[in-house]
Amino acid sequence: MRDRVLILLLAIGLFLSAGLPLLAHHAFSATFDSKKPIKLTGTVTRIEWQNPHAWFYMDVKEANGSPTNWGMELGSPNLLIRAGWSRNSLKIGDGVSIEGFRAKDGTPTGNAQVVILTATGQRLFGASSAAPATR
Amino acid sequence: MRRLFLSILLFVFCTAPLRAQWTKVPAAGVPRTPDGRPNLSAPAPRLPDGKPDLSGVWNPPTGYLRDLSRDLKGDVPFRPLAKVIYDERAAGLRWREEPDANCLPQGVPKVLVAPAPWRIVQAPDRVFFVHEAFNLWWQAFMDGREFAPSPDVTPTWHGYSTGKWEGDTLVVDSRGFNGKVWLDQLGKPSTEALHVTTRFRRRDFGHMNIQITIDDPEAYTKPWTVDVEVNLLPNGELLEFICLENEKDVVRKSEK
Amino acid sequence: MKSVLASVAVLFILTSPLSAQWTKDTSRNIPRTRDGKPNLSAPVPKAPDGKPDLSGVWFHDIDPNGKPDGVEQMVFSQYFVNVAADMKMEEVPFQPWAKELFFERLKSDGRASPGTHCKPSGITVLNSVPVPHKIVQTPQLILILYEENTVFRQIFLDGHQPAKDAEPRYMGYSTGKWVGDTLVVETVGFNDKGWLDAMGHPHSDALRLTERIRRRDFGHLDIETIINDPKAYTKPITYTQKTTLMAEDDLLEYFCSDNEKDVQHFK
Repeated sequence: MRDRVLILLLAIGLFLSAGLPLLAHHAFSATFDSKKPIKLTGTVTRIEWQNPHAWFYMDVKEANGSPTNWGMELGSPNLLIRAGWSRNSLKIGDGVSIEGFRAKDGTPTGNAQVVILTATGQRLFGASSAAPATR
Repeated sequence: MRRLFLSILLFVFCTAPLRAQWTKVPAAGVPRTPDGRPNLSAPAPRLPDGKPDLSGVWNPPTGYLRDLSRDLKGDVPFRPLAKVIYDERAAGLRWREEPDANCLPQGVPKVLVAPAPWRIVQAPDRVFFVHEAFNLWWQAFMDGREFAPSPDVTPTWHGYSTGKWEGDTLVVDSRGFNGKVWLDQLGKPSTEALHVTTRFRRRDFGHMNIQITIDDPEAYTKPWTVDVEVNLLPNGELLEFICLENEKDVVRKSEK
Repeated sequence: MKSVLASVAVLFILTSPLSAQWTKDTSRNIPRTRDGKPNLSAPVPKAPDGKPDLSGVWFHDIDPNGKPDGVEQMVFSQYFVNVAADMKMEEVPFQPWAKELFFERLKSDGRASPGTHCKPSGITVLNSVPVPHKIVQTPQLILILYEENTVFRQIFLDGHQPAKDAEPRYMGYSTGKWVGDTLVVETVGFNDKGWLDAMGHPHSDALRLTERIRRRDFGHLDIETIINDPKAYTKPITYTQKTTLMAEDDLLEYFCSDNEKDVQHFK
């Protein structure tokens, strides 16, 4: 009995120390590293407005001047649509900066938690962002 | 060709009624012959408001899934680029892109002729279609609204559909497609400009005529129309169809 | 601050009309307040046969104490995350194998969850995900259309019973009956592949799921959920998922297999 309680407490401890349940349709922490925050600025090259998660890609200039193409994951378009966004809220060629977290697998992939349009300073997509684009 | 054969086999296997999943319950309101069997030639039923009652479990005939235009008089009016794509798909060269093979929906109108039963449920200002094939639904709004095309609209597999009655025929208009729908297994293309008109007319208790008009000016030079007859399954049930349960083609497609 | 923002976001979701797809739809019989908004406290409407009408598009209420989370950076229903959210973790009445499996799934960050692999989500998840469901009520059949993966579910009220050897399936076989103003839905015939929630509470094929569905007023519907699975849990687990009407909105399509890209990045 004591052993089982001990194991249970350890498991709970493990679970709690990993942070609150970061779980959506799949777990954030299966893909992204909350200890690797990123801030990037670049130009949008592609938008994939499909379920289960919308993605956009951006060219980010490296120190040597050549671009790396980063893939940014957002929430489901269905959730974004209800928050007032559309597949044209971001356009190819737009300058954006993002804040988010990097993927654990080392590829240029991230989860964008804040997306800011360079031209206007407007914050896109997030629940904490300013009023959505007008129609 | 092999892909085509396998897809057909997959469907046939998954839809063959192995045994009933429900105990038989005589459906109320089914007209019967003197020997107690459903009378499929009885008049088409009506709802309390006088409109035709299209509800029931319907079973499409075979053949149109593979080739929607099989009964078309004359040639399908392809635009040149659409014909090129079609020829490649029909020859099996683009099997990796086939929606079925990726557990993606058939879309409208292909889902109506896929060899798996589907059900119509009528509600006051909506008609709902629920399909055994891939366990999905789509709906037509009957409340007078219209689809407002706009570049911001998220494109879909089944379109944004509205319906109205023309006499005893339910006319459903579907627009706002994603351009990925294959109209049949041979691969007749569609684009985001696709507009499908589906006319449902229940001829009698057991038979419904579905007239499908494909109007996609970016793939075809003019609209073309086909007629399909579906049969009622009075005791029909919808099985669960999970494409990704053991889908191995998706894996294979990443191998060269 | 975050919870205020979350509430604002939810309010926005519930009141903003669906975007540009449709011309304005004013033809529905929605009771309204003086300022023209849907009156969510109006009485429960009745179906033609006198039963409460459960029809509508229902948003799954989020955790009032939740924090924005996940890739979506939003607050979810606590029951989507954890069907045993109302009890302490040490109180969950696991059978030993179920507890082991649960902690394995937890440690793996849900890599094998059905949703991640575009497999069916199962009823408890479908009832609590951040996309809504629609109830279509007819006297003999209740149809539930879920936006999550655009799946549907049939609840038979006409005496249909699942056959004894019915093929086990992800969503089981549902039958329902009215008990006063409550629709009591019983579902059996599950396979054992589903997860009850995002954390990964397991279930077996012995699961009997009861949903007591009651519309409290025009804008609010409760799903009292009883998970009765003696093979996996020594006692039933019960919770109530509250839902709120989306009076001017409707379901969108959602196909997980459209563009699933996370599995390739799992590490």
